[in-house]
Amino acid sequence: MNKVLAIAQNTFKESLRDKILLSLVILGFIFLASSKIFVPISIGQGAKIIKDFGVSMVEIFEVLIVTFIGTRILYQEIERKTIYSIMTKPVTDLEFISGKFFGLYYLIIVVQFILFAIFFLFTRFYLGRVDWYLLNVLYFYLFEFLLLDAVAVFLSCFTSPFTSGILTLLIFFIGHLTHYLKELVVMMNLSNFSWLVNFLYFILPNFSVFNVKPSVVYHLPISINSYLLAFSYSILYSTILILISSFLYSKKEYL
Amino acid sequence: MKRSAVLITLIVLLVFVEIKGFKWIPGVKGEELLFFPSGKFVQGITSGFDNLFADFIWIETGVYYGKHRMSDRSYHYLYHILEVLTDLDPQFIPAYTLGSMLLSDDAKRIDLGIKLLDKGLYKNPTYWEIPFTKGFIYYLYTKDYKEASKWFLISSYKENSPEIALKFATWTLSLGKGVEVTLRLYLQLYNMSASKIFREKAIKGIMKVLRDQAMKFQRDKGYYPKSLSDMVERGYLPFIPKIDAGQFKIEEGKILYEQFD
Amino acid sequence: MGMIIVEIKSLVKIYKSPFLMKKSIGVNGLDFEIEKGEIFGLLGPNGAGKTTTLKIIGGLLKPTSGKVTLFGKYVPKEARRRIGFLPENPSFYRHLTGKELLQFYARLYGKNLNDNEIKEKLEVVGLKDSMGKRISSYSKGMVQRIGFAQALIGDPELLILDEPLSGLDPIGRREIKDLIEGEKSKGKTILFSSHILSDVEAICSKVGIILNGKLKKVGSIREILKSDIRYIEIMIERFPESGYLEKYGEVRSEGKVIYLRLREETKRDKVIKEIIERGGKIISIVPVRLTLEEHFMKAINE
Repeated sequence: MNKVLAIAQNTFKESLRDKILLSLVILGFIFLASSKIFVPISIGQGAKIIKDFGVSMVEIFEVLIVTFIGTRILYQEIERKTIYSIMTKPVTDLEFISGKFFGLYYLIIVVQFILFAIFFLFTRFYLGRVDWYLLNVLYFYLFEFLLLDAVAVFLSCFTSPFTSGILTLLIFFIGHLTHYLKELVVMMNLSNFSWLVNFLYFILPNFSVFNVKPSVVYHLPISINSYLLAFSYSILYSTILILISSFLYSKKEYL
Repeated sequence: MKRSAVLITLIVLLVFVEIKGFKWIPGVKGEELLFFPSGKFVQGITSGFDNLFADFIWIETGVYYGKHRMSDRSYHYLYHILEVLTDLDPQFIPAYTLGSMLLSDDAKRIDLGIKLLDKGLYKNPTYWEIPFTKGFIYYLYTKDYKEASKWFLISSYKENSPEIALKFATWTLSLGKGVEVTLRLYLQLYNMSASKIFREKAIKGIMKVLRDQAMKFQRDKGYYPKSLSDMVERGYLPFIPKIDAGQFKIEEGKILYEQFD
Repeated sequence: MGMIIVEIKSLVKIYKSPFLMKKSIGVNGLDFEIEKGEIFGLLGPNGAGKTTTLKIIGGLLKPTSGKVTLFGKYVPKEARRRIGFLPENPSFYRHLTGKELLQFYARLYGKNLNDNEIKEKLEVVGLKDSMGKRISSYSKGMVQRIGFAQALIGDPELLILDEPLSGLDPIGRREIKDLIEGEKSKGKTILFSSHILSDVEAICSKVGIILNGKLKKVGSIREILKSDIRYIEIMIERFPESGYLEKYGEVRSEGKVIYLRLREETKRDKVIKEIIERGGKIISIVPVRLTLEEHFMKAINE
């Protein structure tokens, strides 16, 4: 575990120095701050829009961080030739991949807390009070991005950073849509597509599991089972992806 | 070997969680469209993907309609969604035609249906479908035959409008032709769009006309008509309505629609 | 002699490019052994297959066919705990300081080193004073030395060094050579590659000459180099009878200095004696060997 932790901490430190991270966090700050400009055109829905906008922006910026930074963390080791000095040490592929995975997760958690802190400051500033119910989103995001982290690491085991970046984004959006597509197929009785939709629904990561944004903004109760589902689904799916990734990685050669 | 055993166990567990747990996917029931932002707001943030977003909203419209049709039959936010959609993509003709039909027929909000069509006319003055639908709504739902005739006439002046539009303009004014016009309108509706909702609506409309006429027949003659051609012969039906996907008939004292395979 | 640490049998590595359907040969049938305590130099021009061989031994590449045995029984991946690897033109995490870097690598062996232990390790490679500086500020020689330190961090029995001397200035080369000799004196087995003959000559006890993925010669450095002396150049001052020497080889004079190219090495002592007896003053005697290029040309022709 010490080895995994060492690689994770190193990955985190390295990505902190990435210029993309800084620009994303600054951009996130500006976007969160700008939610105020939508209030006048929102026809009495100002508080709602600031909340909607805030929780969505945090999510979007985290997705961008995973796609831009997460898909490069494996590639960078090879590109900068630092991998030679790691893989010739007594480190297994699983330890290496897990280290990279947790390093990125470390970064995600830190960024998420920073963005949420900024967001809460703004709600305090614009709405006069902090809506603590929104903290529920934090819980679901933690597991949502654990899974997306695993997806990014998995994809970057066999594709270039560019391709895996695009694919990670696609999987994120499709993963949010499948639940909805499934409802659509049932509703419209489109049995021709049901196999495809079922395939997408059960095989691809289903990100609707983590989508509590509407419930949270309207202070609707969230079932304890939804918390359990988010937790167990994310952990199981990520572990499977990391195991497969390490298997794929063990076939790799370092030219 | 050990690793693959672990992997298989985890996959089995995941499938279990998916089957048992997916019903707990968080969602807002009944309140869904409170979350739907206003059209102008959406337009601001779609940044060049307006049409794509409009398509998603179109799908959302169908989901919303279907969901409420099966449950409470209240369509509180239908107009709002269509408004957003047509803000994003003002050329989305079915949103006006089908949308106004749903508003007038299902939501019983003829005013909103007409409002939506007026917006459509303003943004798309060259399409015949919009004034045609307007005439249709005036004829069927408000029974304002003069208005209906006017809009069918306007429709007939547009490019590519079917010949029948002009015929409707005159028919709607001749009082004795009520049944024929209604039937023809529904047939036109059926042929106008490939949308399932539209077609079902047309078939239902035709069935209603046939049922009403058969009741009239029974009241006058003392017995239920044996067949549709029976009704045509006796002057209760101007013609037997025919569509490509199925046929209408009378069996054991009932009007039926039989779909072809 | 001692125990065999590295044993390579008919090792073949073919690189396949899946998209271009191209194949290129990395190594093509290598055989050699390294005994405990030996310094084995793999000598060859760029592209001969040196790096491929070292990476296969280090477990970074998988052989297409053939056998690699480390420490008598292990496959390379499991032997990692017992080897130290310095890659060619190494590069390390630029955001870390020298100290942090070594601590990181030590953790990959499951060891947590304290500051004093790190200092000791850095002192060996002469970087104690730069331990708080970022790698990004290190010179090439310093990077090479920290690379050496990371290869040594697990106290390995076998050191694999890929071109440890390339790209360094004369002082840097001297420092690394000293480090290698220091490790040799501790009884470590060292395998290193180079394309420069003099480096290999200075450090190695055994040398393998590799060309186009094949080992052309293996043997002790003396054996190989002895056969390769082209001529001995003797520089003489104030020799009165210049014509006398022409029977031994070509004579060329520049002012008072005469150069004699002696073709037959066996006559060396006799010639020297004669020169001195006739009043000449010998300034230098230099055996001129085949350059590496010439050597390879010869190897190709064989």
